[in-house]
Amino acid sequence: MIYLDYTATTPMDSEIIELYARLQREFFANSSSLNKLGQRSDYMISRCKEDIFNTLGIKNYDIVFTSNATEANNIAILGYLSNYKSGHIITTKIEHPSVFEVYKHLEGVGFKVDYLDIDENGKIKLGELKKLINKETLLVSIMWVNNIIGAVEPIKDVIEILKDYPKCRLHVDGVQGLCKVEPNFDFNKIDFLTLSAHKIYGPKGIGGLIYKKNLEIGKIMYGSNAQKGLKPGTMDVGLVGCMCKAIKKYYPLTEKHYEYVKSLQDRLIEGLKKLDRVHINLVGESPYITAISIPNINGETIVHALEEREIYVSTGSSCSSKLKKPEKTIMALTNNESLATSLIRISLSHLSTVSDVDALVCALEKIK
Amino acid sequence: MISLILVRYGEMTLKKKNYRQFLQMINDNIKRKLREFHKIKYFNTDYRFYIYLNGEDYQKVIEKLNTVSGLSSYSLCSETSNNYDDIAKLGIKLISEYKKTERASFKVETNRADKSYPATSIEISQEVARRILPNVSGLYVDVHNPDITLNIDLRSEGTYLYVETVKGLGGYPSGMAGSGILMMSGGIDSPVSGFLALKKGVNLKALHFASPPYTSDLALQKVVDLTEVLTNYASSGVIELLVVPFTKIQDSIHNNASNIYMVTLMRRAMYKIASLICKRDGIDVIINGESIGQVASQTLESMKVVNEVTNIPIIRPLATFDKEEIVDIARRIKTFDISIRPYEDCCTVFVPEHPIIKPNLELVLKEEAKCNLDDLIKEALDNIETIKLDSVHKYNVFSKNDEFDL
Repeated sequence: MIYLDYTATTPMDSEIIELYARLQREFFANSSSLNKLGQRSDYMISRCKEDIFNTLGIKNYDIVFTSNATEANNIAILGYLSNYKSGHIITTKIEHPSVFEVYKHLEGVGFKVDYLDIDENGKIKLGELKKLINKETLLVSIMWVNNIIGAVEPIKDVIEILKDYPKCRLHVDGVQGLCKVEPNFDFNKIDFLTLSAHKIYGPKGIGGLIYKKNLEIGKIMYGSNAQKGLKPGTMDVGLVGCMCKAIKKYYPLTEKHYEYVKSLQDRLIEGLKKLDRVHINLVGESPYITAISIPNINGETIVHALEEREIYVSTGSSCSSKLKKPEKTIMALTNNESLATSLIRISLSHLSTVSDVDALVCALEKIK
Repeated sequence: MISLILVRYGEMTLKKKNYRQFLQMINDNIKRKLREFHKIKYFNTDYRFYIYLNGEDYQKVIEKLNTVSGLSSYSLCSETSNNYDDIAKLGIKLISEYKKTERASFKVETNRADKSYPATSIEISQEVARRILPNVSGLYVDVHNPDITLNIDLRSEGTYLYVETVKGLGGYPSGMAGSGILMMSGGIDSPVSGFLALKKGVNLKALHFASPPYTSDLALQKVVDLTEVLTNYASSGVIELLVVPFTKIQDSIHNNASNIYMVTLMRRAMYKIASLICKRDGIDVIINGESIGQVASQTLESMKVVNEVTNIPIIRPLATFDKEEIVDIARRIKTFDISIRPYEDCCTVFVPEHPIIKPNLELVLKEEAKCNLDDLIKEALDNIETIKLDSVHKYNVFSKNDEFDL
């Protein structure tokens, strides 16, 4: 089997699987219980928070552990904006649906939304942001690394621009960036940072929203006061511990893995360039993601054809793959519907090998 | 670019006789606190301490300096060459950044430490001011009462300019003022009290009364975490936390004395223990977080009755503070979030609904006599657990093994 869909999800690290079992055995007690077992669970969670902050070099932040990054994005955007009835907010045309659709929803209930365009490198146009942002802008959501084309967005420049707008908060969806691309910006300059565990060899079922302390975030769910009421419900110490472990283990390896995956991607691109029918949409700065199109062949057809050879890739974001519409990021990048419907996303990992890449190129060549 | 931090010493300049000793102490404290910044170089005169950053992040350095007591203020200096045009160019930049109103007065002040420089301080100031004045709109000269003072420090190592001066922590050099034992409950007040004492140069030990099983490990963890915050302000970076097993004493009072005296008697026992520790360990004073009238046990009448058990001075740094003022400091020194964790401490278990607010000493003594406390106090003293806390390592009361390490 050749798995090349690591952007959709990653297999769990076996050390983390074992940790999960240990934590379930030893820390099953409810972290909201005041008895000693419960308090041990609670303490474990606070240790995990501390570990995460220390690993990422973050100070004066809090984190709410969510069921996934989608939930974290929703809490960030809807929660923060629940302080307002209307106002101006900005995002991009290439966000993940868990951001994009939330902005669409807000547009329908009275917020004025601007969607930033991207340039030929898949990066947002900073000039456009400068033009659109104003003293009344409440929130800007920009992803760190795009999940379809691997473009690394200029978060550092966005931070600079936002300096002049103290009222405006910055939300960064860091899911495809963390542990994959070395950040060239300071996490401490961001108001909300969304993370996911299962993209970095941790378990599914847990994500997190890191947010600046003292930010007023309204509730979008109701229940107990667990996690300051932002995500009520019993916490799974096992999942929290595994997310923490994944970050602790993989964040320090970011650069090393990047270099390796970059060399793999170089080889992949070299191979793909020899195939006449293949159009490479973008060689983004993140070597983990390569978006190609084979015009006039539906993306799904290719996926299934490769699948017969036990090669697993995807047709773009798995979160919107069932929509059967032209992929919005490729549309934004190329404005070409044919490319956007025949999209294939190849995503690599430090676990991928040269022979995986060669086998894929070979298979693509053979597909008629 | 900030390349040098000029540090001014605080109040100790008043202490003529021991000045040298204080100077040595504070310089050592600064160097110890900045040990992690490898590139830094130092230089000091009698009244100032210079830190050459050599590329270290000045904000991080200031953050550390803000834990050193005895420092009055800092100036963040930028470096340039020693010719007038360059000095003026940097001066224009600094003044423009600092200037907050449309019109502002200014003057230039020169300190010519490099005596080989071929002009007097006044000449240098005039030359530089002449070049700056027409280049910043709304600027005018006022040498007596300027809004902005551009300082030029001409040193042989380089020429340094600054306009802004930020306040330091203040107080006396750590360890200068003798020693104290801090009564630590885990609430908001005691760590603030401890901080104020540390700031005034007092060496601290912390004392906590634990009543398991009424109080939990997490309540103790809270006190540990609070004490760890305080270690940042201790010159040695270390504070010993003494944990006194208080359950038996508390049970005895609960079972034998009238309920309304519970708190008064508990506190008397605590101060007896504290004063015995002071005598044993040669500690000068007891420090607590009491604030007049805040709760029943902190009325002046209560203080009097409790104070009666010891002749060791009890320092109450917060006696006249309002809660709001205390909370402000707690937030600033980052103990507030720890203090509000919801665990019971030994003062909050068995507390009667209406404790006595004006206890009568005679009645208190009568109730106390029923409780057989002397033996229990001795036993408690013999079973004190000492936890050595420091500003680098996190201590975890739950597990002395590694089950929490991921």
